[in-house]
Amino acid sequence: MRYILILITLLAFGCKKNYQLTEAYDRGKEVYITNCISCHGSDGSGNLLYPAINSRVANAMTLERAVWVITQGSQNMPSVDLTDQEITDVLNYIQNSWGLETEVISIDSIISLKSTTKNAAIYP
Amino acid sequence: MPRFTLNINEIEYTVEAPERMPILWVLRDHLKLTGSKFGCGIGQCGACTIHADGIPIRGCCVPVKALEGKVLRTIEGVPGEHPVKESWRKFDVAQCGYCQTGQIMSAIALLDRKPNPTEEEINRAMKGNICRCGTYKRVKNAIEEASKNQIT
Amino acid sequence: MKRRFFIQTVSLGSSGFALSATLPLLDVNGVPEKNALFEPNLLMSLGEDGIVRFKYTRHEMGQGSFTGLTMIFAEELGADWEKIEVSQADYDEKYGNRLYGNTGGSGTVRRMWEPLRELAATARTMLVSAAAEKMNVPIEECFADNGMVVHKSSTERIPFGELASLASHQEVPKTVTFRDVADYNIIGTPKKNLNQNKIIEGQLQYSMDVVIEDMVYACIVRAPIMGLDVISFNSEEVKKIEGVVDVLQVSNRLEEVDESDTKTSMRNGVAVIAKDTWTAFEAAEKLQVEWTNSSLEDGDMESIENDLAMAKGNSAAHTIFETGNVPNEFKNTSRTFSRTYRNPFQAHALMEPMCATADYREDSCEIWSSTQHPNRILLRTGIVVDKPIGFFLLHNLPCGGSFGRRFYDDFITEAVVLSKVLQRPVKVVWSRKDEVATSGYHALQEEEHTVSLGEDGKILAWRLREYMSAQTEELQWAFPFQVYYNTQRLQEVVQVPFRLPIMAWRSVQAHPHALGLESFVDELAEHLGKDPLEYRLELLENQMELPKSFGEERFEVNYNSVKEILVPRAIRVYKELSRLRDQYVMSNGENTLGFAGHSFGPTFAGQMAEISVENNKLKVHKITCVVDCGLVINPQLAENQIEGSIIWGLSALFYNNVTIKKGVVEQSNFDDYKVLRVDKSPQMEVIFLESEEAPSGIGEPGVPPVAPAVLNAIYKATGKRIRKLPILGIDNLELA
Repeated sequence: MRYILILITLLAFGCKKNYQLTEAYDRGKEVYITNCISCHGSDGSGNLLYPAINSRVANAMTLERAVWVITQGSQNMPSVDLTDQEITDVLNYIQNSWGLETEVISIDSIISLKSTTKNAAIYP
Repeated sequence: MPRFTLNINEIEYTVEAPERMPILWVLRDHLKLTGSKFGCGIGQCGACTIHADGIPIRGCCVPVKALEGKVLRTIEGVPGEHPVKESWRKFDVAQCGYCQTGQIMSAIALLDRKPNPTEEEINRAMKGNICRCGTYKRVKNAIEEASKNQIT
Repeated sequence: MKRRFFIQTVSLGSSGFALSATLPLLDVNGVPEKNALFEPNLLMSLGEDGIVRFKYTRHEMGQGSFTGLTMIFAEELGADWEKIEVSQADYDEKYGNRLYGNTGGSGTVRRMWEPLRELAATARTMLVSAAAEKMNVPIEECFADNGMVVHKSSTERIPFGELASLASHQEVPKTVTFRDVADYNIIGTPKKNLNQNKIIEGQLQYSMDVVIEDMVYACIVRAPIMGLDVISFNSEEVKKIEGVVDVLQVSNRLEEVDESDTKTSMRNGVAVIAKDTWTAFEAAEKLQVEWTNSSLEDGDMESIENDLAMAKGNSAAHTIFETGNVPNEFKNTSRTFSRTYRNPFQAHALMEPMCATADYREDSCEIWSSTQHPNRILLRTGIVVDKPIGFFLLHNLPCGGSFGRRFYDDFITEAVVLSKVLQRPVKVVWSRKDEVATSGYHALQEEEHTVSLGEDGKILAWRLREYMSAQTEELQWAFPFQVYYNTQRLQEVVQVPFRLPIMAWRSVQAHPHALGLESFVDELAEHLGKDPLEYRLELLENQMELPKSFGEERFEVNYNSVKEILVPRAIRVYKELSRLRDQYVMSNGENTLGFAGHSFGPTFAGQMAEISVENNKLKVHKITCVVDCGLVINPQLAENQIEGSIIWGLSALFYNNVTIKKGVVEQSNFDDYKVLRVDKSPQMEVIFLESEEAPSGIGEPGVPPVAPAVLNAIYKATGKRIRKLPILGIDNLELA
């Protein structure tokens, strides 16, 4: 029930500027600070050791790939122990910060992506 | 060897280190500031948490080059009478204590961002700090207490 | 009867303490304590300033005995808590096993309870005697309290400091009387962790923080499979890396030493020596080592299953406990009930990876590290470099968690060997990957319980067969004590030749044992249509007499005396759990409850888990733990220990699972070896049952009941019985 409410809220704030005012955006920022900021930087520009995620190129990474990397890890990044809600929030934060603007993703689509990518070792 | 000027706990340090060396090892091995701990090396446990411009960062992941010009703070730079340290004392949080300087640095940064965090917000900010002694309950109690005692 | 532990007169001649009580106190460098005027034993000195300086002769790893032992000593001495200072004693054989034995088995307070009180009471008696002499009153009219000796009738009082010199000339008493528990004002109070301030300031020095002049740092690439040896490595290439000092082979050439008591746990490997830790780590990543072959290389989880199946089919069972004639009963029975439970391989994942610094010189070797068992470690290290224990000076620093891991010598031996070769101080630092992937593990184990049931549901015979790693020490076989001696029983061990090295892990054998026993009792209660708590009490109240000498021959475990302590404790704990359940039901609690209890040493702990499962999402809301551990020395720190044990137990229940592929451990860090984080941490409540019996240990007893209590609750909530750990992922179970 709560999820549905959140989803409705998110749909209501479709555009970036309004989204940045939502609680969901703030949650995503908090998740980012706790789990991502050290390597990817407060502006998403990465550092000498870790890649930037604030450019359109980085954002061209498919959602499937992003969910996969977070939940399963990749060669350069350990998996991160996040809940479905946290994955949703942080991806929405990343995709709607630093001048980026993307349609807000629902938790349901994240859950569905998680289950489709879970056993498919399609990503290195 | 490249040379870096770092502002740590309001003191200027000049260090010679490879530019890729994570700040944790500059602090620990070069500057002998050993309050920040090595736990995992991949930003998963939070034992090395310090502040860069007030933001909590895992020292094991951030190369020294990225921190030039930033204001850094480690556990050694937090006064003993800081409300978070006081409440840590009150709840006798630490057991082995190894993760606790990282816990404290994460807690301070959280309260700087959100002076009255909800339980959910505490969880979100503190889940990057692992404690194998299992002091989580007291960590939360201490943060709630410190949030009441902050100087506003 | 209850008071027997407290009003006690001890004859010192019999305990061997009269001797040490007359020795002057020397610190390890052989220099007498500064300004010390009164040094009645190896652990205490007192100067004119009135400060009692106490030496802590165990290993502090978060369990709090640094504080707890100081409290016991201060209490028995009649000291002022504000005027006692404690410091960590370097290891020295002069302390003997009684004062500086191992720190393990939740036994520090339990084992030090008598010796510390003997030493403190002796010192107190001499101080009182000195005061009586000074005041010129009979000694019987004086007593020590709060750092002073008080004359009863005149209430004249003299501070300890003023008595120090005179006390040192008093005769060492032949008998001493312990203080009455009713007079305690330190024991039983929530004194703060004495390391707390240093920890909060980042000033507590762990092994990782040691800095010695001219020291170099070593990272070792260890054999990925125990026993593999180095054939070759790209030494020249790695030596070219800036900051690398040397690349050296570390060899364990003592494979022929068979005795498990003396064999080092060190692996073969190649060490990269560098000017700082990070350079050593980075260079080690570039090291390429060619290893010898091993038959273990074909080992994976499937071969582990095969090993287990083979042992089940072919291996002989060792009987470790037997009453009555269980096999005979099974031959004639028509109704049996049998279930099997599994514990996986588990790693320690302690917060501070292992670390040791050694400075090997011609005539001695100084070591800075953290160890639970200095005597055994130095013996093993000494064998490797062919030196006696006395050659080493070990500074036993507090550690960032141990949980059994620092019982073993490998990291210390590595530092000693490298320092000997390099002729300078060397600090060996383990990476997280080293700690998770090239360590020793809590063993995979299966517990198979079978009972024969009569028409009325009465248990006629009970067999427990444990499928256990062949490396598990025999001493551990008899260790997890039973409390249900309600029927004829047979307990057997079947050894399985598992491939991974085994090490002690918080609560050791009690963990798989409780998982099996306490799940099984719940299943049995259900099978018989009985209430799980009432059924436990029923089993506890119908106890059989055990053959008197049972178990003593082989393991020196007297089951009858253990039973005498544990069974009443278990009954008290389960009755309290019943009361808590009634209370929960009365308050219309919405969640599902599950229960389990288990012993660890003489302590008994029982738990009530409150959980809910919705759409395969499990939430553990709260765990309440009821503990009977005898007298509680420090309620605050004891509560910390139980809370920590619950978190430890939940990590094991949810996540912990070490697996191998081609003989090599697959996990390497907190991403693939998960542990509980704050957001999944439940509410906790700890209840200590009041007791004046001797304190019996608190570091581990909270762990074993966690898994079965939650599993019993999950069954009640879902109808699904899970019989193996870890549980996440089984039938898509997730955490809410």
